[in-house]
Parts: sequence; structure tokens; C-alpha cells
Amino acid sequence: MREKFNFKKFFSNYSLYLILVFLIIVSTSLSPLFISYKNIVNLLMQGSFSGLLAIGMTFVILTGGIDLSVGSIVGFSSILFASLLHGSIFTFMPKTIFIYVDLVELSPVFHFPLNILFVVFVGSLIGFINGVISYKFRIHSFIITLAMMIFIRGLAISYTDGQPLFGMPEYVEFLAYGEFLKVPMPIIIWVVSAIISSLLLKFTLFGRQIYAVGGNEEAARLSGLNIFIGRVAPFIISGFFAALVGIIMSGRMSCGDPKIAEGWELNAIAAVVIGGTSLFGGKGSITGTLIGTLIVALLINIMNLLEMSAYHQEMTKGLIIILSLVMQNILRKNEIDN
Amino acid sequence: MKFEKKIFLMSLMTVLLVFMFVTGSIAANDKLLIGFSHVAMNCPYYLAMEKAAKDTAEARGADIIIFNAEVDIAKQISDIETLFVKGIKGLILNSTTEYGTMPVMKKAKNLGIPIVAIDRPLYGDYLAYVGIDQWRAGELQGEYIVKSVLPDGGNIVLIIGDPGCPASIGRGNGMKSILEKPENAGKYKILATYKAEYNMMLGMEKTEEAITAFGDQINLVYCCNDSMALGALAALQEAKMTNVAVCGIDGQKEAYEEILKGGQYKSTVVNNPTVETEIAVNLLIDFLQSGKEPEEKDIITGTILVTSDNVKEFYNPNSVF
Repeated sequence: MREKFNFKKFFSNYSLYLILVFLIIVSTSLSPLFISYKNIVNLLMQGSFSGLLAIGMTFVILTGGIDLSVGSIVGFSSILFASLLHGSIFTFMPKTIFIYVDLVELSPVFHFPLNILFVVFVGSLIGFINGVISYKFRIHSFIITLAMMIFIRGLAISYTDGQPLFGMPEYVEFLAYGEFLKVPMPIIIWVVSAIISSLLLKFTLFGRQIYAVGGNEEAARLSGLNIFIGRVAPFIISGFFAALVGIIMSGRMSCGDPKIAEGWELNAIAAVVIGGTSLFGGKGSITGTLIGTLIVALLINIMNLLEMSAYHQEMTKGLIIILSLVMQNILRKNEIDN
Repeated sequence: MKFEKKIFLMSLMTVLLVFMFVTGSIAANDKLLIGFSHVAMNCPYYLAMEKAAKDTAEARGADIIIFNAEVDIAKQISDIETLFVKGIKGLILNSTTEYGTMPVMKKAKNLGIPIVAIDRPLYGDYLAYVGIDQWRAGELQGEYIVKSVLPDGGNIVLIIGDPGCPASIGRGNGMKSILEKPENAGKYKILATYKAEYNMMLGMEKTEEAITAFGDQINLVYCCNDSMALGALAALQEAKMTNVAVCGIDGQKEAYEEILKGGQYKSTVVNNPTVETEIAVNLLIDFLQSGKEPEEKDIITGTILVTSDNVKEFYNPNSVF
């Protein structure tokens, strides 16, 4: 009797880790290439982009909101950064065609590190606007961030009529391709961000505010917590990470491209939700999101190794997300019943 | 209890990690493995390239892995990185944007993997490029429009594939550069530019939008590829606007059929995906097998204007594309 109880509880508490381990075993048996050092590094690096977005998304979903604009902010940050490097903050140049020359003459508006800080500030500002409008006018963030998504994407494309803008300095390429102790920079940035965010959520007053506002806003207000911070800060954080990803992606492509990251908000949401964070708010963790990100990254990776067609991959991804959610629901019900 | 469970989980993961790094060997295969990072597979042109690549590789006794980037540059970079993991020895690359793949091409060079670029022009360190001159294709159409289609001037609706794409940039702006020449100044007006992702359905939709917006003002719908032009033709015929001319590029056989009919569809430019791909794959395999360097770095396959005068030379009802 006691043995059975332990197993069930164990299973429901650690279901996420067990799913990950299970997927690793299945992937290894499906393709020996999966566990090679090269592939694991690949997997982690490709996962770090949606991983960073997912960290920001965790904060937002914990307060019961959602941020659909992150993909557009990534694209906008990319072209804004490139535009800064070419000498203007704000530009409409649909008719000019950029002819490539070997050595790019950059006339940056700000120099390093001011230009990176500026772009990240703009991303955070967009997030701030998302949060404030949603809070002050009591409109659900789904609508606000959806509108922002469309607006920001349009703004980004208007910069160069959708054309990529070449010319990235070395320090940005280092952010995407450089290595520190043999580990690629995007992975390091992701892990460090996850650790800091996790500590923030678990051990600071700010973290408690986030959980409180997400769990029960009235109770939080009556406890004297600052609701404004609890409702607006997550969007600032989400915008911050989106802008950061935009800059790293610019390094990855060696150009600013306003059209990248379309649909990435959904990948981020999937990672957060698979990781156990409730869409109603108040429940979840960065660790969960990390595992969720790994599960999604692993899936994409093994499907690529198996040379599955792009369309079949989409179908499988969708199925796994649905299955994950259903399973989590069943396990939670078991937990409550027990 | 919880502490014990944590220990159990940790040891389980450690055992797993050890298992992972101890086992695992890559199966040896004598066949030459090459990769093809394709930009998309959403129209007959790209599908013809896929088929040609598979057939040519098979004929040469090589294995080929083809990945579809779904017009997403970030996915394409990931695709190429996955191809590296799979151990390809050479890469055929049809890049989504001109600059986006530059860093990953540098990576390929460091790994000693030669790249043959195909179809979409790009910048970077490649062995050879096989494709048409996109700008020249646009110019040829521009010259034909000025000379024969609208010699007295007119209004043009421009439908491009997608703004960042080098083919659209070349074909669209090449054509416009002829219109902007001093002798043609003031005669031609571009009413609007739409983007239809080289897709026939979207080409039709965008033309319908143009018809709603401009109605009788339209004299010519110029599309950056035949798929979109065929869609535009369908929309114009629906709206009973049979005087409006249509021009495309690529040399799709359905386009030839329309030109043969001598109706609204006026001209196209030859761009044979099958020939292009065959040349590229053979070039790559030659280089990998015998170190044979390509004669020229940029191999421009025939950029030839096709109109009702010479369409019979090119039309082949049995061709794939």
C-alpha cells in the first residue's frame, strides 16, 4: 500500500523531469547522433533563444497575463540595432537598396555599449507600455500585446521595407557565436538569466509580489503589496529579454532583419505552459520553464535529426503540447484527489 | 522523504548521462553525403529543385539530405547547423536572405565544407553560385514592356515575392530601373506594390485587391514570378479585364501555354530550376570527389526573355516545371 502511494506521488511531483528523461532515452535510441557533443551543444544553443523569451514570458504568465508581442519586439530590436549602427534611430527608406561592400562603413549613433543598452531600453519601454495600458484601462494583456505585436512588426518592416540591413560589429557576432570555456555565448546568457530570474522569484519581495498578484490580486492589494509593480514589471522584463534576443539574433545573422521571430511568442508560451506554469497565474517556476524549453528544443532537434518534413514537425509539436497539457491536468487532479 | 527522492532522481540522471556518453557511435556509410538547405517548398519551382537535387545525387551515387527552411532565416541557420551534425561533406544553399547566412557559411568554411549557392544570390564565402542574373531578368522585362507591351506608357501594378528576397529585389528593381530611365520619364506609373510570397493563391488575392483599388487604371500586372502571374491572370479573367497585360518570370510551362495562346500573358524569362540544380549538384560532387574547381565563380544560366515570338522553342509539355 505504501509503495503504491509513493510511486504515484513521485510520478506527479517529478512528471516533468521524467518526461524529459523519457524523451532523451527515446531520442538516443532513435538516432545515435542525438547524444553527440556537437548535437547537444546545437540543441542547447537553438533552445536558448526561445529559452530567453520563455523566462520573460514566465513572469508575465505568473501574473495571469500573456505577452504576444515578444516575437515582433525581437524583429524590431534587430532592425533598430542595425539602423543605429548605420546612423539613424528612426528611418523610413523604402527606395534605397543596400549594395554590399566588403568593408562596411558604420557610422553608429551610439557606441558600444550604449547602442546595446539603448535597444534593450526600447524593448523594455515597449513592455512597459504593454503593462501600463493593460493595467490602467483594465484590458486583458492578450488584446494589448496582440495589437502591439501587429504595430511593432509593421514599424520594424517600415524601416527598410522588410529588407535586411547588413553590417554587424564583431562584439555582436561574439554574442551569437563566441564561446566562453567552450560553451557558446547564447547558452551562457540563457543560463545566467535563468539563475538570476529564479533567485529573483524565489527570494525577493518582488518575487512574492509576482506570485501574490497572480494568485489573488485582491488579497495582494489588501496585504499592502504594490499592484502596479506586480502587473507592469513582468512586461518590462519580457520586453527586455525580447530585445536581448533580437540583438543576439542580429549577431547570428550578421545583419538586422525585421522579419525574424515570427511565431516565437507561441514557442515561448508552449515552453512556459509545458513547464507547469498555470495560465491563470500564481503557480509556476523558472525551473519548470527551463525544463519546458528543453523538452520543446529536444523535440525540434530529434525531429530534425530524423529528417522529418517541416510540416510533419509542426503537427508533432502541436500534438506533444496538447498531450503535455492534458497529462499535467490529469496529474494535478490526482494530486488534489490524494 | 523528499530528500531521498531528490537523491534518487539525481542518481538516475547521473546514470543516464554516463550511459549517454559511453554509448553512441555514428554509423559509417561509404556514400558521399551532401546537404541542401532549401528556402521553401511551397511552389512548383522549389519542388522542381528538390526533385532535381534528389535525382542528380542518386545518379552520382551520393546521399542527399534536404531541409526546408519555410522562408525563415533563423530556421535556415538551424537547419544548416543540424546538417553539420549529420556529417555532410558539402552544402547546396538556397538562402532566404542575402546576408543572413554569411556567419554560418563562415562556420562551414572552418569545418572544410564547400558551399554551392543556388538560385537566390547571396554574399559570403561560397565555392560557386548557379542561377540567373535576377537584375538582368528584371531589365529584360522592363525593356520588353517599354518596347512592346506599353510603348505609349501606362499604369503598372507590381507584385513581388517578398521584400527581403534578392530575387524580388533584382527582378522588381531591375524592371523599375528601365522605367526610370530619362527617355521613359513620366510615361509609366507604378500604382502599387504588393507582396505575394511567390504563391499563386496570394498572387490572385493581391490582384483582386488591386482591381478593387484601381479598377480600370491598370494596364499591366508585373509579377516577379510565373506562379503569382498565373494567379493574377485568373483574377483579371474573373473580373473580365481582358485588356490588362500580365508578365512573369521563371518560365513555368503553364506560363508558356498562356503565351502560346497569344492572350493577356505577354512574356516571361527563362529560369529553369531543374537545370540550375543539376549543374549545382554536379559541380559540388565533382569538387568533393576529385577536387575539380568550377571554371567560374558565378555561373549564370541563360537569362532569356520568352515572348510569343520564341515561346515554341522553350515549351515542353512533359517537363516537370
